[in-house]
Amino acid sequence: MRMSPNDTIISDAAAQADAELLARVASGDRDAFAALYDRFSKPLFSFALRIVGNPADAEDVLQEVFVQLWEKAGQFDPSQGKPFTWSVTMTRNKAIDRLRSSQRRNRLVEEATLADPASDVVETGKAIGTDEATRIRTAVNTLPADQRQAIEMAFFGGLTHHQIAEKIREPLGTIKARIRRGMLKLRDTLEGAL
Amino acid sequence: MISEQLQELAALHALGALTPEEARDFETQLSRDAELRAFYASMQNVTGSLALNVKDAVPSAQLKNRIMAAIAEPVPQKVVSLPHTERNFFAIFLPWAVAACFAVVGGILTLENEKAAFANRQANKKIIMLESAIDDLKAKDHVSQVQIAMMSSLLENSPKAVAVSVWDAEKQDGVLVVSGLAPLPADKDYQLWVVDPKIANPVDAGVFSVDDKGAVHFHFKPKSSVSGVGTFAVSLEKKGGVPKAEGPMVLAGHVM
Repeated sequence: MRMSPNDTIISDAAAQADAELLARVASGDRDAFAALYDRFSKPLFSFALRIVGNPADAEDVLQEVFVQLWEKAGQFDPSQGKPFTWSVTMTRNKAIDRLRSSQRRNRLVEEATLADPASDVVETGKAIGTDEATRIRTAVNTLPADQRQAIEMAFFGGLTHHQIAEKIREPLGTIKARIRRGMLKLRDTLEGAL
Repeated sequence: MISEQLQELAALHALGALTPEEARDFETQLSRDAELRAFYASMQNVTGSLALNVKDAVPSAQLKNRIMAAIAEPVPQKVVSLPHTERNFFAIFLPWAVAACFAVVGGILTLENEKAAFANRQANKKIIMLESAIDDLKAKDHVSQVQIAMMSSLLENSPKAVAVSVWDAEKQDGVLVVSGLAPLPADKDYQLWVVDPKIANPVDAGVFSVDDKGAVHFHFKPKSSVSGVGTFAVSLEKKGGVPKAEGPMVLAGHVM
Protein backbone atom coordinates (compact mmCIF):
# COMPACT_ATOMS: atom_id res chain seq x y z
CA MET A 1 0.00 0.00 0.00
CA ARG A 2 1.30 3.44 -0.95
CA MET A 3 0.76 6.50 1.16
CA SER A 4 0.04 9.92 -0.18
CA PRO A 5 2.14 12.86 1.02
CA ASN A 6 -0.89 14.05 2.98
CA ASP A 7 -1.11 10.93 5.11
CA THR A 8 0.03 11.55 8.66
CA ILE A 9 1.93 9.12 10.81
CA ILE A 10 -1.13 8.28 12.90
CA SER A 11 -3.72 8.18 10.11
CA ASP A 12 -5.46 4.90 9.33
CA ALA A 13 -3.83 4.81 5.89
CA ALA A 14 -0.40 5.24 7.42
CA ALA A 15 -1.15 2.59 10.02
CA GLN A 16 -2.11 0.09 7.33
CA ALA A 17 1.04 0.81 5.34
CA ASP A 18 3.15 0.56 8.49
CA ALA A 19 1.51 -2.78 9.37
CA GLU A 20 2.48 -4.08 5.93
CA LEU A 21 6.04 -2.87 6.50
CA LEU A 22 6.12 -4.64 9.86
CA ALA A 23 4.89 -7.86 8.26
CA ARG A 24 7.80 -7.67 5.83
CA VAL A 25 10.18 -6.94 8.69
CA ALA A 26 8.85 -10.05 10.45
CA SER A 27 9.93 -12.13 7.47
CA GLY A 28 13.46 -10.73 7.69
CA ASP A 29 13.19 -7.97 5.06
CA ARG A 30 15.95 -5.48 5.86
CA ASP A 31 14.78 -2.99 3.24
CA ALA A 32 11.40 -2.85 4.96
CA PHE A 33 13.15 -2.37 8.28
CA ALA A 34 15.19 0.52 6.86
CA ALA A 35 11.98 2.08 5.52
CA LEU A 36 10.34 1.71 8.93
CA TYR A 37 13.35 3.38 10.52
CA ASP A 38 13.06 6.29 8.10
CA ARG A 39 9.38 6.73 9.01
CA PHE A 40 9.58 6.36 12.78
CA SER A 41 13.07 7.37 13.85
CA LYS A 42 12.59 11.14 14.08
CA PRO A 43 9.34 11.21 16.04
CA LEU A 44 10.46 8.36 18.32
CA PHE A 45 13.85 10.00 18.90
CA SER A 46 12.17 13.34 19.68
CA PHE A 47 9.86 11.55 22.10
CA ALA A 48 12.69 9.63 23.78
CA LEU A 49 14.73 12.82 24.06
CA ARG A 50 11.79 14.56 25.75
CA ILE A 51 11.89 11.88 28.44
CA VAL A 52 15.57 11.10 28.94
CA GLY A 53 16.90 14.59 28.28
CA ASN A 54 20.12 13.97 26.41
CA PRO A 55 20.74 12.85 22.84
CA ALA A 56 23.17 10.05 23.68
CA ASP A 57 20.66 8.34 25.98
CA ALA A 58 17.86 8.97 23.48
CA GLU A 59 19.90 7.28 20.75
CA ASP A 60 20.55 4.29 22.99
CA VAL A 61 16.83 4.05 23.66
CA LEU A 62 16.07 4.29 19.95
CA GLN A 63 18.58 1.57 19.13
CA GLU A 64 17.03 -0.76 21.71
CA VAL A 65 13.56 -0.01 20.35
CA PHE A 66 14.47 -0.72 16.73
CA VAL A 67 16.32 -3.92 17.59
CA GLN A 68 13.21 -4.97 19.51
CA LEU A 69 11.04 -4.07 16.51
CA TRP A 70 13.27 -6.26 14.34
CA GLU A 71 13.01 -9.17 16.75
CA LYS A 72 9.35 -8.80 17.71
CA ALA A 73 7.75 -7.58 14.47
CA GLY A 74 5.99 -10.92 14.09
CA GLN A 75 4.18 -10.36 17.37
CA PHE A 76 2.51 -7.14 16.26
CA ASP A 77 -1.27 -7.55 16.21
CA PRO A 78 -3.03 -4.98 13.99
CA SER A 79 -6.30 -5.61 15.81
CA GLN A 80 -4.76 -4.25 19.01
CA GLY A 81 -3.53 -0.92 17.70
CA LYS A 82 -1.36 0.94 15.24
CA PRO A 83 2.31 0.21 14.58
CA PHE A 84 3.35 3.73 15.55
CA THR A 85 1.42 3.56 18.82
CA TRP A 86 3.00 0.15 19.51
CA SER A 87 6.42 1.68 18.89
CA VAL A 88 5.61 4.63 21.15
CA THR A 89 4.78 2.23 23.98
CA MET A 90 8.10 0.41 23.49
CA THR A 91 9.97 3.71 23.39
CA ARG A 92 8.26 5.06 26.48
CA ASN A 93 8.93 1.90 28.48
CA LYS A 94 12.62 1.89 27.61
CA ALA A 95 13.01 5.64 28.11
CA ILE A 96 11.22 5.53 31.48
CA ASP A 97 13.45 2.64 32.58
CA ARG A 98 16.46 4.81 31.77
CA LEU A 99 14.86 7.85 33.39
CA ARG A 100 14.21 5.96 36.61
CA SER A 101 17.91 5.34 36.98
CA SER A 102 18.79 9.01 36.60
CA GLN A 103 18.22 12.24 38.45
CA ARG A 104 16.45 13.83 35.53
CA ARG A 105 13.11 12.46 36.63
CA ASN A 106 12.84 14.91 39.50
CA ARG A 107 13.52 17.81 37.16
CA LEU A 108 10.92 16.57 34.69
CA VAL A 109 8.31 16.30 37.37
CA GLU A 110 9.13 19.80 38.58
CA GLU A 111 8.81 21.10 35.03
CA ALA A 112 5.41 19.47 34.64
CA THR A 113 4.31 20.84 38.00
CA LEU A 114 5.24 24.38 37.04
CA ALA A 115 4.22 24.24 33.40
CA ASP A 116 2.10 27.03 31.99
CA PRO A 117 0.35 25.42 29.04
CA ALA A 118 -0.38 28.64 27.23
CA SER A 119 3.26 29.66 27.14
CA ASP A 120 4.71 26.26 26.37
CA VAL A 121 5.61 26.67 22.73
CA VAL A 122 6.71 23.38 21.26
CA GLU A 123 8.42 23.30 17.92
CA THR A 124 6.86 20.30 16.29
CA GLY A 125 5.96 19.55 12.74
CA LYS A 126 9.07 18.72 10.77
CA ALA A 127 8.96 15.05 11.67
CA ILE A 128 5.24 14.46 11.39
CA GLY A 129 3.64 17.15 9.24
CA THR A 130 2.75 20.67 10.26
CA ASP A 131 -1.04 20.30 10.22
CA GLU A 132 -0.95 17.23 12.40
CA ALA A 133 1.48 18.86 14.82
CA THR A 134 -0.73 21.94 15.06
CA ARG A 135 -3.83 19.84 15.78
CA ILE A 136 -2.07 17.92 18.53
CA ARG A 137 -0.47 21.01 20.06
CA THR A 138 -3.78 22.87 20.05
CA ALA A 139 -5.57 19.93 21.66
CA VAL A 140 -2.98 19.63 24.43
CA ASN A 141 -2.82 23.37 25.05
CA THR A 142 -6.59 23.66 25.42
CA LEU A 143 -6.61 21.17 28.30
CA PRO A 144 -7.13 22.67 31.74
CA ALA A 145 -3.70 23.06 33.37
CA ASP A 146 -4.37 20.54 36.14
CA GLN A 147 -5.41 17.84 33.66
CA ARG A 148 -2.43 18.46 31.43
CA GLN A 149 -0.09 18.43 34.39
CA ALA A 150 -1.33 15.06 35.64
CA ILE A 151 -1.16 13.51 32.16
CA GLU A 152 2.36 14.79 31.51
CA MET A 153 3.66 13.69 34.91
CA ALA A 154 2.44 10.19 34.12
CA PHE A 155 3.38 9.94 30.46
CA PHE A 156 6.67 11.81 30.34
CA GLY A 157 7.68 11.54 33.99
CA GLY A 158 6.88 7.86 34.47
CA LEU A 159 4.93 8.42 37.69
CA THR A 160 2.06 6.23 38.81
CA HIS A 161 -1.19 7.91 39.80
CA HIS A 162 -0.31 7.22 43.43
CA GLN A 163 3.00 9.05 43.04
CA ILE A 164 1.35 11.98 41.25
CA ALA A 165 -1.21 12.33 44.05
CA GLU A 166 1.56 12.30 46.61
CA LYS A 167 3.74 14.70 44.65
CA ILE A 168 1.13 17.39 44.19
CA ARG A 169 -0.73 16.63 47.41
CA GLU A 170 -4.12 15.95 45.94
CA PRO A 171 -6.48 13.04 46.70
CA LEU A 172 -5.95 9.96 44.54
CA GLY A 173 -9.52 10.13 43.26
CA THR A 174 -8.94 13.68 42.06
CA ILE A 175 -5.87 12.66 40.08
CA LYS A 176 -7.64 9.71 38.46
CA ALA A 177 -10.61 11.89 37.52
CA ARG A 178 -8.35 14.60 36.07
CA ILE A 179 -6.50 12.08 33.94
CA ARG A 180 -9.71 10.47 32.69
CA ARG A 181 -11.29 13.78 31.81
CA GLY A 182 -8.12 15.05 30.15
CA MET A 183 -7.65 11.91 28.06
CA LEU A 184 -11.30 11.92 26.98
CA LYS A 185 -11.04 15.55 25.98
CA LEU A 186 -7.89 14.88 23.98
CA ARG A 187 -9.51 11.92 22.28
CA ASP A 188 -12.56 13.93 21.32
CA THR A 189 -10.53 16.87 20.10
CA LEU A 190 -8.14 14.69 18.11
CA GLU A 191 -10.80 12.37 16.78
CA GLY A 192 -10.61 13.80 13.32
CA ALA A 193 -6.87 13.43 13.25
CA LEU A 194 -6.66 9.83 14.46
CA MET B 1 -21.43 1.38 28.73
CA ILE B 2 -18.03 1.51 30.38
CA SER B 3 -18.05 2.70 33.98
CA GLU B 4 -16.07 5.79 34.97
CA GLN B 5 -13.86 3.59 37.10
CA LEU B 6 -12.91 1.42 34.13
CA GLN B 7 -12.42 4.50 31.98
CA GLU B 8 -10.01 5.80 34.60
CA LEU B 9 -8.08 2.54 34.63
CA ALA B 10 -7.93 2.47 30.82
CA ALA B 11 -6.63 6.04 30.66
CA LEU B 12 -4.07 5.37 33.40
CA HIS B 13 -2.90 2.12 31.78
CA ALA B 14 -2.49 3.80 28.39
CA LEU B 15 -0.30 6.41 30.07
CA GLY B 16 1.67 3.74 31.94
CA ALA B 17 0.49 5.15 35.26
CA LEU B 18 -0.80 1.97 36.93
CA THR B 19 1.32 -0.04 39.34
CA PRO B 20 2.38 -3.46 38.00
CA GLU B 21 -0.29 -5.19 40.11
CA GLU B 22 -3.01 -2.80 38.94
CA ALA B 23 -1.86 -3.23 35.35
CA ARG B 24 -2.10 -7.02 35.61
CA ASP B 25 -5.62 -6.83 37.04
CA PHE B 26 -6.66 -4.41 34.33
CA GLU B 27 -5.20 -6.64 31.60
CA THR B 28 -7.37 -9.46 32.92
CA GLN B 29 -10.47 -7.29 32.69
CA LEU B 30 -9.39 -6.17 29.26
CA SER B 31 -9.18 -9.74 28.01
CA ARG B 32 -12.83 -10.31 28.93
CA ASP B 33 -14.44 -7.16 27.63
CA ALA B 34 -14.48 -6.19 23.94
CA GLU B 35 -16.05 -2.79 24.60
CA LEU B 36 -13.34 -2.01 27.12
CA ARG B 37 -10.69 -3.05 24.61
CA ALA B 38 -12.09 -0.63 22.05
CA PHE B 39 -12.09 2.15 24.63
CA TYR B 40 -8.54 1.30 25.67
CA ALA B 41 -7.42 1.38 22.01
CA SER B 42 -8.80 4.92 21.75
CA MET B 43 -6.78 5.89 24.83
CA GLN B 44 -3.66 4.37 23.26
CA ASN B 45 -4.23 6.46 20.16
CA VAL B 46 -4.24 9.53 22.38
CA THR B 47 -0.88 8.57 23.89
CA GLY B 48 0.45 8.06 20.35
CA SER B 49 -0.51 11.67 19.64
CA LEU B 50 0.91 12.91 22.93
CA ALA B 51 4.26 11.42 21.96
CA LEU B 52 4.24 13.67 18.91
CA ASN B 53 3.73 16.82 20.97
CA VAL B 54 7.42 17.29 21.66
CA LYS B 55 10.16 19.46 20.27
CA ASP B 56 11.55 18.10 17.00
CA ALA B 57 14.93 16.43 17.19
CA VAL B 58 16.93 14.37 14.74
CA PRO B 59 19.15 11.41 15.66
CA SER B 60 22.70 11.33 14.33
CA ALA B 61 23.22 10.01 10.83
CA GLN B 62 25.37 7.19 12.23
CA LEU B 63 22.55 5.75 14.31
CA LYS B 64 20.83 4.10 11.36
CA ASN B 65 24.08 2.36 10.38
CA ARG B 66 24.59 1.26 13.98
CA ILE B 67 21.13 -0.24 14.14
CA MET B 68 21.38 -1.91 10.72
CA ALA B 69 24.69 -3.42 11.83
CA ALA B 70 23.11 -4.59 15.10
CA ILE B 71 20.35 -6.49 13.33
CA ALA B 72 22.85 -8.01 10.90
CA GLU B 73 24.60 -9.85 13.70
CA PRO B 74 23.91 -13.57 13.47
CA VAL B 75 21.09 -14.84 15.61
CA PRO B 76 22.48 -16.83 18.54
CA GLN B 77 21.90 -20.43 17.55
CA LYS B 78 21.82 -21.86 21.07
CA VAL B 79 23.00 -25.21 19.69
CA VAL B 80 25.04 -27.26 22.13
CA SER B 81 27.44 -29.88 20.81
CA LEU B 82 27.32 -32.91 23.01
CA PRO B 83 30.04 -35.52 23.51
CA HIS B 84 29.46 -38.75 21.57
CA THR B 85 28.20 -40.73 24.54
CA GLU B 86 25.71 -38.04 25.35
CA ARG B 87 24.66 -37.97 21.70
CA ASN B 88 23.60 -41.60 22.05
CA PHE B 89 21.54 -40.70 25.09
CA PHE B 90 20.21 -37.70 23.20
CA ALA B 91 19.27 -39.83 20.19
CA ILE B 92 17.12 -41.92 22.51
CA PHE B 93 15.72 -38.99 24.41
CA LEU B 94 15.13 -36.52 21.57
CA PRO B 95 11.90 -38.02 20.24
CA TRP B 96 10.47 -37.93 23.74
CA ALA B 97 11.70 -34.37 24.31
CA VAL B 98 10.21 -33.19 21.04
CA ALA B 99 7.05 -35.12 21.81
CA ALA B 100 6.92 -33.34 25.16
CA CYS B 101 7.29 -30.03 23.32
CA PHE B 102 4.51 -30.96 20.95
CA ALA B 103 2.34 -32.04 23.86
CA VAL B 104 2.76 -28.60 25.36
CA VAL B 105 2.21 -27.00 21.98
CA GLY B 106 -0.72 -29.25 21.18
CA GLY B 107 -2.43 -28.41 24.44
CA ILE B 108 -1.91 -24.75 23.89
CA LEU B 109 -3.05 -24.84 20.28
CA THR B 110 -6.15 -26.82 21.23
CA LEU B 111 -6.96 -24.16 23.76
CA GLU B 112 -6.49 -21.58 21.05
CA ASN B 113 -9.16 -23.20 18.93
CA GLU B 114 -11.62 -22.95 21.77
CA LYS B 115 -11.13 -19.25 22.33
CA ALA B 116 -12.82 -16.93 19.94
CA ALA B 117 -12.50 -13.68 21.84
CA PHE B 118 -9.28 -11.77 22.05
CA ALA B 119 -7.44 -14.71 20.66
CA ASN B 120 -4.16 -13.14 19.69
CA ARG B 121 -3.48 -11.49 23.04
CA GLN B 122 -4.16 -14.79 24.71
CA ALA B 123 -1.98 -16.56 22.18
CA ASN B 124 0.89 -14.20 22.88
CA LYS B 125 0.63 -14.95 26.59
CA LYS B 126 0.72 -18.64 25.85
CA ILE B 127 3.64 -18.21 23.52
CA ILE B 128 5.55 -16.57 26.36
CA MET B 129 4.66 -19.49 28.62
CA LEU B 130 5.68 -21.95 25.94
CA GLU B 131 8.97 -20.15 25.35
CA SER B 132 9.62 -20.49 29.04
CA ALA B 133 8.79 -24.21 28.98
CA ILE B 134 11.06 -24.75 26.00
CA ASP B 135 13.85 -22.78 27.66
CA ASP B 136 13.52 -25.10 30.63
CA LEU B 137 13.85 -28.11 28.36
CA LYS B 138 16.82 -26.51 26.63
CA ALA B 139 18.45 -25.80 29.96
CA LYS B 140 18.30 -29.50 30.65
CA ASP B 141 19.80 -30.26 27.22
CA HIS B 142 16.65 -32.14 26.33
CA VAL B 143 16.21 -30.27 23.09
CA SER B 144 19.63 -28.76 22.65
CA GLN B 145 20.11 -30.02 19.12
CA VAL B 146 16.95 -28.56 17.71
CA GLN B 147 15.92 -24.99 17.13
CA ILE B 148 12.41 -23.77 17.71
CA ALA B 149 10.50 -20.84 16.28
CA MET B 150 7.12 -19.62 17.49
CA MET B 151 5.18 -18.13 14.58
CA SER B 152 2.45 -15.54 14.97
CA SER B 153 -0.32 -14.53 12.61
CA LEU B 154 0.20 -11.54 10.34
CA LEU B 155 -3.45 -11.54 9.30
CA GLU B 156 -6.25 -9.53 10.80
CA ASN B 157 -8.82 -12.14 9.76
CA SER B 158 -6.92 -15.03 11.41
CA PRO B 159 -5.55 -13.47 14.58
CA LYS B 160 -5.61 -16.75 16.45
CA ALA B 161 -3.40 -18.56 13.94
CA VAL B 162 -0.19 -19.72 15.59
CA ALA B 163 2.49 -22.23 14.69
CA VAL B 164 5.61 -23.82 16.03
CA SER B 165 8.50 -24.88 13.84
CA VAL B 166 10.99 -27.38 15.23
CA TRP B 167 14.16 -27.50 13.13
CA ASP B 168 17.02 -29.98 13.24
CA ALA B 169 19.99 -28.19 11.64
CA GLU B 170 22.08 -31.35 11.53
CA LYS B 171 19.51 -33.37 9.64
CA GLN B 172 18.26 -30.36 7.68
CA ASP B 173 14.63 -31.17 8.32
CA GLY B 174 11.90 -30.20 10.70
CA VAL B 175 8.28 -30.25 11.71
CA LEU B 176 5.77 -27.45 11.55
CA VAL B 177 2.71 -27.57 13.83
CA VAL B 178 -0.04 -25.12 12.89
CA SER B 179 -3.36 -24.17 14.41
CA GLY B 180 -6.01 -21.66 13.52
CA LEU B 181 -5.14 -20.96 9.89
CA ALA B 182 -8.02 -20.41 7.50
CA PRO B 183 -8.87 -23.46 5.34
CA LEU B 184 -7.84 -22.94 1.73
CA PRO B 185 -9.69 -22.86 -1.58
CA ALA B 186 -8.80 -25.70 -3.97
CA ASP B 187 -6.42 -23.59 -6.06
CA LYS B 188 -4.23 -22.42 -3.13
CA ASP B 189 -1.56 -23.84 -0.85
CA TYR B 190 0.31 -22.52 2.15
CA GLN B 191 4.05 -22.47 1.52
CA LEU B 192 6.75 -22.58 4.19
CA TRP B 193 9.93 -20.54 3.77
CA VAL B 194 13.20 -20.78 5.67
CA VAL B 195 15.00 -17.46 5.93
CA ASP B 196 18.77 -17.83 6.17
CA PRO B 197 20.48 -14.42 6.54
CA LYS B 198 23.36 -15.72 4.42
CA ILE B 199 21.10 -16.57 1.46
CA ALA B 200 19.58 -13.81 -0.65
CA ASN B 201 16.10 -15.30 -0.96
CA PRO B 202 14.03 -17.36 1.45
CA VAL B 203 14.43 -21.09 0.80
CA ASP B 204 11.35 -23.06 -0.22
CA ALA B 205 10.48 -25.68 2.40
CA GLY B 206 7.38 -27.09 0.75
CA VAL B 207 3.64 -26.57 0.57
CA PHE B 208 0.90 -27.73 2.87
CA SER B 209 -2.79 -27.32 3.52
CA VAL B 210 -4.73 -27.43 6.77
CA ASP B 211 -7.71 -29.44 7.97
CA ASP B 212 -11.13 -27.94 8.63
CA LYS B 213 -9.90 -26.76 12.04
CA GLY B 214 -6.99 -24.96 10.43
CA ALA B 215 -4.44 -27.42 11.85
CA VAL B 216 -1.63 -29.51 10.39
CA HIS B 217 1.56 -31.35 11.41
CA PHE B 218 3.86 -30.81 8.43
CA HIS B 219 7.25 -32.53 8.07
CA PHE B 220 9.47 -30.38 5.90
CA LYS B 221 12.89 -30.36 4.28
CA PRO B 222 14.14 -27.19 2.56
CA LYS B 223 14.83 -27.51 -1.17
CA SER B 224 18.43 -26.40 -0.62
CA SER B 225 20.82 -26.53 2.33
CA VAL B 226 20.60 -23.77 4.94
CA SER B 227 23.32 -23.04 7.44
CA GLY B 228 21.88 -20.45 9.81
CA VAL B 229 18.12 -20.32 10.08
CA GLY B 230 16.90 -16.96 11.37
CA THR B 231 13.21 -16.94 10.57
CA PHE B 232 10.42 -19.20 9.40
CA ALA B 233 7.56 -17.72 7.40
CA VAL B 234 4.42 -19.03 5.72
CA SER B 235 2.87 -17.41 2.66
CA LEU B 236 -0.33 -18.06 0.76
CA GLU B 237 0.49 -19.19 -2.78
CA LYS B 238 -1.05 -20.83 -5.82
CA LYS B 239 -1.52 -24.63 -5.74
CA GLY B 240 1.81 -26.45 -5.76
CA GLY B 241 3.81 -23.47 -4.58
CA VAL B 242 6.15 -21.01 -6.24
CA PRO B 243 9.98 -20.76 -6.42
CA LYS B 244 9.95 -17.25 -4.89
CA ALA B 245 7.30 -15.98 -2.49
CA GLU B 246 4.62 -13.98 -4.30
CA GLY B 247 1.58 -14.11 -2.06
CA PRO B 248 0.87 -12.48 1.29
CA MET B 249 2.78 -13.61 4.38
CA VAL B 250 0.42 -15.18 6.88
CA LEU B 251 2.74 -16.38 9.64
CA ALA B 252 6.27 -15.51 10.68
CA GLY B 253 8.56 -16.04 13.62
CA HIS B 254 12.21 -15.96 14.55
CA VAL B 255 14.22 -18.89 15.86
CA MET B 256 14.42 -18.72 19.65
